[in-house]
Amino acid sequence: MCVMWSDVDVSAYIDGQLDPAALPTFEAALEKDQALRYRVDAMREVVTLMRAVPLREPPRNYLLTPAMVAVKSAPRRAPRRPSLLMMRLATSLAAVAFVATAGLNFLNQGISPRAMVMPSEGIAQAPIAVEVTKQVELLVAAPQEAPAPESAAAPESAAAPESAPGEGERMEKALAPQAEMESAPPPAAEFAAPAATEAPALAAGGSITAPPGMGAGVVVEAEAEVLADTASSPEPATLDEAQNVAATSATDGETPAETQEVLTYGVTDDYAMREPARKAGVLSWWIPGILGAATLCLVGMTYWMSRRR
Amino acid sequence: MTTTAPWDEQALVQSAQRGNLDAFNALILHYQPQVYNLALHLLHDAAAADDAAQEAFISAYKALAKFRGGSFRAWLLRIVANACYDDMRRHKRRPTTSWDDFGDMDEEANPHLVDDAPQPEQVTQQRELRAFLDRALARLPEDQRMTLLLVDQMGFSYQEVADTLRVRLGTVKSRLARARLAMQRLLQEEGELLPRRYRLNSETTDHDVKRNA
Repeated sequence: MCVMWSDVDVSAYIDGQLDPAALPTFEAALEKDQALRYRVDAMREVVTLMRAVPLREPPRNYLLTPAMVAVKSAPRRAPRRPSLLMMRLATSLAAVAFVATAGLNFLNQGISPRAMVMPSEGIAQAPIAVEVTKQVELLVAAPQEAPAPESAAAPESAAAPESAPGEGERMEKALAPQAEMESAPPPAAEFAAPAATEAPALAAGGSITAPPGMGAGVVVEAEAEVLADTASSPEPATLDEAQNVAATSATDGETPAETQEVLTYGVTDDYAMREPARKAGVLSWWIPGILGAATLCLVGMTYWMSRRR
Repeated sequence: MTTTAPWDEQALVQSAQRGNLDAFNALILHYQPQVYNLALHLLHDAAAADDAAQEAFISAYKALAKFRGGSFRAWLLRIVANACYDDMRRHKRRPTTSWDDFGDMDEEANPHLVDDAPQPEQVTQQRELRAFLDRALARLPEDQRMTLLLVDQMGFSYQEVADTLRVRLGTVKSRLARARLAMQRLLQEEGELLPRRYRLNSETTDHDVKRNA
């Protein structure tokens, strides 16, 4: 078998790197093939010649000193500016924190009315309470004209057709914080009893008025009749209708103060007591406010950095 | 083929990795001829090779923690080769086929060749041979020249060359064979320029070989 040995095989054979499986065949061919033997000898001479020349000596030593190594590593310690990736991450975190705190604030105000009471709400409730008081006075004056309380309901319903169905609910809402204040310390102790017992008392025809000296808040007078009648009798559809009814009653010369038997409780609007909570609610908005401002700043800086690169 | 280190190279490398600069300097003293010669053959400029060798050693010391074993000199010479390629790119220097600039054997013109030792005839002949080989090597393609230098002058194994140049083992074999054939042809063509003792014995029998083949 005649095998054509390549120059790669010859070169590898000289270096002892020929495939061990091919080595016996190569050596057998080397004994028989003069041309192959010549190729091996010629290439071996080149290798010998190359190895006969020593390497050039370097012009100097390249020994390192600590200073050489330290000087080169100094630039690594230079302060680096925050990367764009870090700025984006900070912006995202600030935005998430802002949304979370703002959401929690909204959630807390939805759960606790005291925290969400604003001055405008307290002011808005005042005329409603006044109008309801006028209606109640009409109802209380009615028994003078009619002997039975039941008969008073009919004229009342005739004279004052309806009170707005929403007003009863508003009254209940206005009283609801008082019921919540059962657990509150000093004011709750003061108003807990009326709040707990005012339902039957009011149902008996009593009224709730503010004691003298507590005029800081808006006085709320509510009567059980109103609460009872709002559920049974037709009521004014709007607040304006109720005002008209009250005005009509006043022109008729009725004086509610004459005959009314009033069960009076010292109840005032809890606006004054809500004030600290309101302030706390307003103050709590500083946190999302600051976070929002920080988010805006970070967004601006990130945009500037991205444009700069 | 592979020269064995006369000292515990692995221990020196490990010591240098722990920050022992003296251990690394011992490695430098042993390998600096190879580093310098490789840089010289790549850059064809003694001053540039000098700078590249120094930079390569500094880079190697800083990157020593990344060395995960294997042939240290292959790893070191790969750094040298990269430093030389960086220098070529930086200065847009290209390997030239002429070796005249460095091939000047005048010692005054090339102080690197000054030798204080006595100059016997053998040393002179070696210088002539080196000059001739340098010129011949300069005419080889760069990849073949590198392979020939690493194997035949520095005693690298095929695997070390493959690691240094980051090529496959078969590529090393083929490059080496082509480089040797090219050198053989050059030596046969210009053999009369060589000292007599270095002339190839096979140059007169080339025609006979072809005829017999």
